[in-house]
Amino acid sequence: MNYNTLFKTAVLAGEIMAQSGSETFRVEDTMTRILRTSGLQVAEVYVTPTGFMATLSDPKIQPITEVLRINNRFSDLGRINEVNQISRDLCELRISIDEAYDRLIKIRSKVTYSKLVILIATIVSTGGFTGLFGGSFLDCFIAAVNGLMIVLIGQILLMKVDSTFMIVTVKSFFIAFFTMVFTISLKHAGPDIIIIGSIMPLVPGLPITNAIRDTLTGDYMSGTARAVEAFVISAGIAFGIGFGMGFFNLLERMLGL
Amino acid sequence: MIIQVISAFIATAAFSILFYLPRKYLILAGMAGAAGWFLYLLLMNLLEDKTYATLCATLVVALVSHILARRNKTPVTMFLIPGIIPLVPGAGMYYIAHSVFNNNIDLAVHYFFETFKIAGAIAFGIFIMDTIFRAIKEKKVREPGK
Repeated sequence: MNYNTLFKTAVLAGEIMAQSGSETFRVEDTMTRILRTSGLQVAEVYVTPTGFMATLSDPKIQPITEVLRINNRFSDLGRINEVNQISRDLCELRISIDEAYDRLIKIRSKVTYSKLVILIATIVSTGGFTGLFGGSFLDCFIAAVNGLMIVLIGQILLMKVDSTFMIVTVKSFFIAFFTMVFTISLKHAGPDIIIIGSIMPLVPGLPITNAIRDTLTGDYMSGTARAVEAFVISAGIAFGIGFGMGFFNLLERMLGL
Repeated sequence: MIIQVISAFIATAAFSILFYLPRKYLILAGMAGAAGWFLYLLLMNLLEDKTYATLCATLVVALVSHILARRNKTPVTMFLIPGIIPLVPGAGMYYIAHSVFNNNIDLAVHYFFETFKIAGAIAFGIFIMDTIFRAIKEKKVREPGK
C-alpha cells in the first residue's frame, strides 16, 4: 500500500471539510478512519477550526506528519456531504485510494450553484424571512430589494476586504439605512420586521450550531472559537444596524425633513 | 399563520442554497424549517413564552434532522443548520441595536438577556437530541459485536 497517497487523501479530505465549516469531531473522525485503513499502529489527528495536524507512523515506516493552516473558510454543506460519502466508500473498500483522491480533487473545482442562483436565493430568502415574521406583501418586497443589495455589496467588498466583521457590518448598515429611506418615503409604518427579515442571511447559524455541537462533544477549543465567531458576527450586525439608523436620523435632521 | 409557515418553508429552502446544500435535499431542509416554525408559532399562541417555544421547536427540528440524516446517510448538519435558522434570535439582535441606539439601556439589557435565553434554549434542544441519538447509535454498534 502506498502510505503517502493515503496520507495525502486524508489530509485533503480534512482540509475540504474544515474549510466548508464541518464540526471538528466529524473532520477528526473522517481523517482517522481513512488513516486507519492502512492498518498502521499510530494514526493521530488533531483539528481546530483554523488548522490541523496529522501523523501516520509505525516501526516499519518513516513517520509522516503534516501541519496545515486553514484560511478562507466558507459554509458549504454540499462539500461536507460529498467528502463524507467518499470516506464511507473508501472505508468500506468500494473504491481505491487513487479513486478517492481523484474524486476529492474534483470536489474542489465543482460549482454547485452559479452566482445568479445565489442572487435569486438571497432575494427569495430575505423576502421569505420577512413573511415568516408576519410581514405584509410590501414588507416582503422591500426586504427582497435589500437582499439584492446585500449580494451586490458582498460582491464589491469581497475584492477588497477579507474581514467577516467588516463585511457583515457594512451590509447591515445599508440594510438599516435603505429600509429607513424606503419606509419613510413610502409612508409605510414599522421598519422593524423588514430589517429583521433582511439580516437573517447574515445571522451566524452555522457557527452557533457548530459551537454547540463541538462544545458538547468535548472539543472545547473549537467550541469557544466558534462561539466567539458567532458573537463577533452578531456584534457586527448590531453595530451596522445602529450606525445605519443613526446615519439616517442625522441626514433627516440636517435636511430638515 | 399558514402564510407564515409557507414563508418559513420558502425562506429555509432558499437559505439552504446560500449554504450550498445539494438540490435533492432543499425540499427536505425547507420542511424541517417549516415544521419548527409551525410548532414555534403554535406554542407562542398557547404559552406566550419565547424560550419554551424555541426549546420545543428546536427539539422537533433536531429530531426531524436526525431522522432525515439517518435515512439519507448524510451528516446531521445538512438539515439541522437550515432547520434552526428561523429560530435563531435575529430579531433579538435587532432590538438590542435599536434600544441602544435610542439610549434605552434598560430595554437593551432586557433584550440582551432574552436573546441569550433563546440561544441557550436552541443549544439545550440540540444537545438533548444529540445525546438521545448517540445513545441509540452506540447500542446498535455494540449488539452485533457480542
